[in-house]
Amino acid sequence: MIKFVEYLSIFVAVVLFQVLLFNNIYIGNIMIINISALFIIMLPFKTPGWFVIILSALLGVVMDMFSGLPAINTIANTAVGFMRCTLIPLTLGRGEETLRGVISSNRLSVIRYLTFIVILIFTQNSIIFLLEALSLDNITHLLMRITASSIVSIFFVYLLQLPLYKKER
Amino acid sequence: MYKLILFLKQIHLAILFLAIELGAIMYFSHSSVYTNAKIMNVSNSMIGGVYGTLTTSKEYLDLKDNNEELSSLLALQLNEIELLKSHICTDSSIVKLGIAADTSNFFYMPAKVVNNSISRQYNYITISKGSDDGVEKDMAIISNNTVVGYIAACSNNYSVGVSILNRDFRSSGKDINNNYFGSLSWDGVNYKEVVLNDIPKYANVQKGDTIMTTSFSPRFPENLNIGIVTDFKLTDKMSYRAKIEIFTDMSQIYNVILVRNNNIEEITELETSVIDNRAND
Repeated sequence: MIKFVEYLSIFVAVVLFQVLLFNNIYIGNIMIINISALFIIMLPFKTPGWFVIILSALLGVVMDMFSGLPAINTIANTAVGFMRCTLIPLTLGRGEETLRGVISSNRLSVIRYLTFIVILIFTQNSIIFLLEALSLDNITHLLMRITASSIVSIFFVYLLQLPLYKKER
Repeated sequence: MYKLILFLKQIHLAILFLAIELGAIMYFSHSSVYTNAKIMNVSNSMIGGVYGTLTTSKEYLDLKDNNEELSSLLALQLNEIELLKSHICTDSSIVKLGIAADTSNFFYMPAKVVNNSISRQYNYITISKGSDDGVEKDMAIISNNTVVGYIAACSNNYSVGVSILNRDFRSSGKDINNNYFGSLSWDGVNYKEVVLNDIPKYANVQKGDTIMTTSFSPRFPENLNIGIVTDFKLTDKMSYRAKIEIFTDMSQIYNVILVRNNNIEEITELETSVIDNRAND
């Protein structure tokens, strides 16, 4: 029950931070900070795959409702949820996926954790920006948006998981 | 049978993933600017109060009272101008002098912006007035006599407008130096620039030319400022495509004026009937 309340709070906090703060920050006419993947990343190791995918889709639906984007976040976040399920065994190695707790830079090495979030966030941003543009006319601008937004989002996701890192330590 | 169940168990995640993605993609492919605005209206009814509080804090720092007073005054004056216009137009002596009767009939209303995005490809503006205040779909949103967007959906207390920085935004603009017009849209690249397409190639377009609204749009009054030409090129040997630096700083909009064309229904009905008749012929 405590865990449920904890994760519900994280869900609400991620949505509010994204909608009220990060959606209003537009850096250098190109970068958007997208931290919604943080919730998916922070789910416990042992969360069943189907539940991760459903929660990811739900997060996407809520984000779409507040952003006015037609299912773009749902498509992107569901893909992130599915990739998380696929990547965990590959990133952690044999046996380690049965560990308790959550994925953090404390539990994995910093390099492995960064690789994990880079893949997820880059995938998420690529889907969002590609679906938003639906055209490759300005491919340079599109690639710049994906790369710049991914870098800044990774930075913020890493920063926001640090309190958790300290808590676990 | 057992093997089939085992196989399905192995790929159940992929099946679930594909099913959700398929549903979302179907919704995405059938979405329109109006459905998106309606979705935003649902969220506004839930967290509109939060947006309102944040905006009020911003306004406090930006001389809230002065801005509101000025907006109300401007709306009042614009309404008076419209009233005077109608008096002038019915005065037969003025009509005899050759001044064409202006049949336009616009109503102006001040409003506050409670939420505004500029970072997406499809940006929307949330306004703190809804259908209870007399806001209607397709009303123009202007600020300091410049184009900002138009209303796409209304709830009782809030409205969502399609920003000029939305790739679905369409209007027309004319170069006031030569009166040639083109189709106005946003290409999604720079939030300070929009694009004027299909300007005839024999139009003498120059950098620095001012672009204003035309009388063709049923939403926007004529001669509202849009921006200035910063660059142009011949696209298909037939027409120019010009980049327009917009006058409005879309990242700094707090007070706007909503404009209703009282004849919009009549115009739209007439245009639709002509289109329908042609389709039937």
